[in-house]
Amino acid sequence: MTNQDTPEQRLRRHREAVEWFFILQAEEQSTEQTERWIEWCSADPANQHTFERLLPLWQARWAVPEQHAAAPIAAFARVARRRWHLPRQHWALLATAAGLAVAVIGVLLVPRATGTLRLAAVAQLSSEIGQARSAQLVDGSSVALGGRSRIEVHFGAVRRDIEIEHGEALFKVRHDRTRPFVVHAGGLQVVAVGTVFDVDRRGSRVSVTVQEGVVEVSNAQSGATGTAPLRVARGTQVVFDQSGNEAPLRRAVSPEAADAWRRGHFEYVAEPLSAIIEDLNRYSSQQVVLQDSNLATLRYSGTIDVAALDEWLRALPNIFAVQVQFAPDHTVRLSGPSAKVTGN
Amino acid sequence: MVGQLFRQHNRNLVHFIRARMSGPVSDANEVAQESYVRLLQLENTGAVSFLRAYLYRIAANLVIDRNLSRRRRPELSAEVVKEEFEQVADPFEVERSVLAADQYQHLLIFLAELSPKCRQAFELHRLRELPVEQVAHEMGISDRMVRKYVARALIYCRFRMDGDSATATLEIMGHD
Repeated sequence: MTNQDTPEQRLRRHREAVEWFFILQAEEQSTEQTERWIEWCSADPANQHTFERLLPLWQARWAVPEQHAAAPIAAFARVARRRWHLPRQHWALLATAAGLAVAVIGVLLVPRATGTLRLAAVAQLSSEIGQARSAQLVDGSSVALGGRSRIEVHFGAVRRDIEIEHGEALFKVRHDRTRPFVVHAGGLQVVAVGTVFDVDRRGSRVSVTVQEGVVEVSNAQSGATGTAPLRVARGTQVVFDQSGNEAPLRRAVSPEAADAWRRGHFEYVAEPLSAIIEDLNRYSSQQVVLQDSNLATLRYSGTIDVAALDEWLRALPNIFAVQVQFAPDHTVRLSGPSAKVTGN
Repeated sequence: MVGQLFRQHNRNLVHFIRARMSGPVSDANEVAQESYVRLLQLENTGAVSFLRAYLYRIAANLVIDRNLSRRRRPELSAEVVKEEFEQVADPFEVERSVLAADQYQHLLIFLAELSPKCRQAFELHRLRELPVEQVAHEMGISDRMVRKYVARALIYCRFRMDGDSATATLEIMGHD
């Protein structure tokens, strides 16, 4: 079949197949298009074969079993993505309407920095919910810790090591070529020489955002792939998820994004709800609980202001099929839709 | 007549659904089955060519439904079709048509050989399933360029997985 193709024919066939992917993917589908595609498939067995061989790569996201489990949710998240452009006034309106119905007001703690500490060469630093702390390290570098976060500092003669046990920290690193500055978060290592960068660890999901300079990220858990360290430059964010096989996602961000959380501001692109909730719970006395594990993989895109967290939560049922319940014990429970929603 | 359609078109129909749908192969198979059920429920069944067009229309709508709602596992009301499906359902090499975990690792390695933009377009559109328009917006390039990058990444990785060397593949495809 394809073996008999010249390289040019083979390439052309592949290009045609991919063009069909894009055509078939479009929501509006004309009968003529479908007919033409069927014609193309039956015109030459090699066409059909090529299409078939490219399909698994086209659907690579569904390659891994754990991701199969998330199928209905992921499909569902498409709706969310389509609707995330909802204008701000709308959010406010929805929120106000919801607010009349549910009159529970949570105490919101916008992160506020307290006095600067000086940490020893070997030290620990942790913060409470809604508390932001900053500290100066012995080498002149500094660290700003997000809410409910904890780090361990271990500065030696040849390396400066910091472990993020959980939470988020922004680092401003004093240049020292002889002693690399290494931040560990799960299996991830972020190496910096002199730079400003942020590391956010939510369970297995770690994002690294660089505000100044360059860092190198290597993943101890990707031993199988044996890839070289990833260079992350200024104005770039890379998100690693070590639980699945999702490829690290790299995206351009404004340099301010690295410490936007210090201003109570979060910005997401297709971020799993579980990771977002973990971020938000560091800043709100009102803890959000996902009651349905299926909800964890819903992906949200958009911005969230910690100061307007309640409004965001109340508007959530407009984006996802979730129910939001403000419980008397200061938790907010998110659960899946009731049976009536799942009908035809 | 539906049975005939099934034998002739099931493979294409499942491919059609998979190209459109966000979900695993098993979901695509379910949608295909449900399409036949719906077709069978039609009052007037005309010529096969009409039926075929109708079948794809039904499937397309079902995919949209499924991408939009959480609805899962349609009730199979027509036992006949179910049996028919099981009989004919040449498992059409489901195994071969799904990427195994180790192949996925290879895919990631081959993706890393591409230019950053090409890789990013593929990751955002295919691994994160962001719509082309959103990828274009995020990357600051045109929709057309997104499609071009995604096509390039797909074909490059297919060639590499088929055993072509990086040099040979670049020779065939040309550079970015």
